[in-house]
Amino acid sequence: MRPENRSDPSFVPRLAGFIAFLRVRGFAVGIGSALDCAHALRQISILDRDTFLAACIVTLAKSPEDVPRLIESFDLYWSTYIEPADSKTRLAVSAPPSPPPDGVVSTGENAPGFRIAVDRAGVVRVGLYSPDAPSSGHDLRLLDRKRVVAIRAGVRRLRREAATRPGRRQAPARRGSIDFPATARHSLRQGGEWVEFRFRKPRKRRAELVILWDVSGSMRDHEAVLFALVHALHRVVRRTKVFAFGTQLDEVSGLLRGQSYFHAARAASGHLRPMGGGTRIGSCLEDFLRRYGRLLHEGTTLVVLSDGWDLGETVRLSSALQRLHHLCHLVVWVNPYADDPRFEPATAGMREAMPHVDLLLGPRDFETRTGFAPERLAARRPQTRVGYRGKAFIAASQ
Amino acid sequence: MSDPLRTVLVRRPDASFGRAEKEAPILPNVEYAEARSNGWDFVTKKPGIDGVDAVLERFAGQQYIADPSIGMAVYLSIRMGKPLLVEGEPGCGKTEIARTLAAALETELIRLQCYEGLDADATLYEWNHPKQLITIRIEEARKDPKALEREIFSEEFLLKRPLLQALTHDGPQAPVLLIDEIDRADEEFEGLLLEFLSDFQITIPEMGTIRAKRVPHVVITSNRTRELSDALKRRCLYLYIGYPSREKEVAILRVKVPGLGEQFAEEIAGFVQRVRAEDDFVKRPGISETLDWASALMALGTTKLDRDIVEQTLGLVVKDAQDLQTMQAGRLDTLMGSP
Repeated sequence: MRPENRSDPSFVPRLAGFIAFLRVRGFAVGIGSALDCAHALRQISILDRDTFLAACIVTLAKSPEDVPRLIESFDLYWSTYIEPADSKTRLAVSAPPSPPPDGVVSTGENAPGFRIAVDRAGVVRVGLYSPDAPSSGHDLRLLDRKRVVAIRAGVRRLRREAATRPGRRQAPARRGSIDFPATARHSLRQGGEWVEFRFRKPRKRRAELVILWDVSGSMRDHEAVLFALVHALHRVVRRTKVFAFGTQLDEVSGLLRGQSYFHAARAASGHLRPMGGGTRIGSCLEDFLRRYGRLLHEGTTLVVLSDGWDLGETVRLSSALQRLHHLCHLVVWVNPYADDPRFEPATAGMREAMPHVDLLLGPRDFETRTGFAPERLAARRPQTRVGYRGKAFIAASQ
Repeated sequence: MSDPLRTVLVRRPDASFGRAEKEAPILPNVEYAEARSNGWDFVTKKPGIDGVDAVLERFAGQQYIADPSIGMAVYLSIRMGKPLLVEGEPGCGKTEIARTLAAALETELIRLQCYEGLDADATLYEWNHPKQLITIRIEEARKDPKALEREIFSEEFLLKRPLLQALTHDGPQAPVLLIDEIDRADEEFEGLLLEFLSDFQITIPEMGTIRAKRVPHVVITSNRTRELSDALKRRCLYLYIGYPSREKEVAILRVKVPGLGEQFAEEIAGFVQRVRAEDDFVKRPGISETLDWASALMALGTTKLDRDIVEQTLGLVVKDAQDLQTMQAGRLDTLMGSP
């Protein structure tokens, strides 16, 4: 299988078109990766489809989740001829395809934001989200001071429960391993006699939070209390990053940093993207993993504030949340409807999410002293699979 | 297919013409003694890796059953001189790729095991301070201070750590550098690696920039306990190794556990595959667990899987307390009963 001379001038534009096609479909393919792909294709025979595909996967995929999507895109692009929009390599694809939710009827081809795509199996997919949806604004109302103080107290309880992992540094303790230097120092006060041992044990790591805040239209009625919660989390836990999502993901930590509740609410009202465009939780979580996945480690607690109403592909939500659950210490889902004792995780998004959630809470749990009581935490634990991290959390709180 | 073995004339490094190694095809009219006297040696060279098939062939020779995807990734990594990032579940043969590559290329394997808190001193170089102090005490009366300073900051006083060892490797072949479980190291360490992976050079302030004599074959492994930075991923080719299919696992068992019958290998692989398919297990067994279990069963003289022997040796396959409880609470009977 010796490399062949790839001097055919028509091949390079087609390869560039493929790279552009991948970018349109959400792949983060840089110039370096594109060049790597071109160099790799010079080393192999591109007449063999499997070899060609394998070389593309090695050079363009950057995670296992990328591989099936890359194979799908490869099939779609190289099986059909897609006419470039102009003489260069721009493609006439305006947005990534997205399936409609069950039972929702299309509003017609002329509706604003209407997107249509045909996949390889011939299934017509219609996207109903739209970043161009008319703005209905984010008029964040302020809660009264008593409720804000109560929420902050609840967040402190969550912080205590989230910081359960031992760190590398040691601290004096009543039990643990013997601290010989401290024991020796203490003995000097007793005339050099070792009458009492001093102990030490690893200090708990500080909690680190990542907050994913759903700001889509379905959350409009709960925005005030959830914003108070987000602000309290950011204020109480020093290492916190906040991301707002609806159809796209944005980091909003900068709006909250060092700001009072009032000023932060005003800044967030002016900055958040308009609601009403729909919700694509799975897509946003994937985007978060791709762009900010490095923030997550075994000490991070992920807090998702959402009602789980998803207009995207719920399979993507499930796989992305599974990955997040694997990377984090804890996944806490705050659903505004979970305060109601009759609450059932009935939305498609919640059903997919529940197996990967360690703790399901409602906003009211933060405001009441009993919200983090061990028996309530145990009751809030989903009955489906819970990893060892979840169990560690529950055990620590009992 | 690869080329056959070929004999060439190789200029000896100690020849008076210079240290550069050069080779020429052997000519029929060259006498052995004449060539020797002119600083040449007759050397039989192994063929280079010139395709995916050659990689698979070499790996099979080292008892590593590789997929074409693995062959493609390794081949492109060698041809393009780019590091290979291998991700996958624990115990699926990521580290073994580097070991096998080193054995297949007949070169040295330099390993850097990553852990939390890994820093430049442990990965790049460190000055041998005790030796420097002793030299200063001995030589300070006899030597000029400037000359002494030059001497104590020379290569002789440098303790080479794995990355620098890989760059200054003197062997006939480029070494294989294995950076194992990089996800265990801090994010800062990834920043440290960037210069090394893109330019294969290290800058030492006292000595200048050291470039690779031969670009090492770099294999980086990760268990995906955290996401790696885009900058690191961009510099690497990517390979993901998942759990093997049943057929591949049987083939691996047959190769790695001598004396294992085909029927017994099928039974072992089938059971492990069923355990892996359980959604609610915290820790799923990898290939290394399968191999350990098969070896243990062989050591016990077992030739057929039955419930008692599986229960007694379950700890070799299932390595989580909750999973063990689940198995002992009745799941084992279900899995043993499945076809």
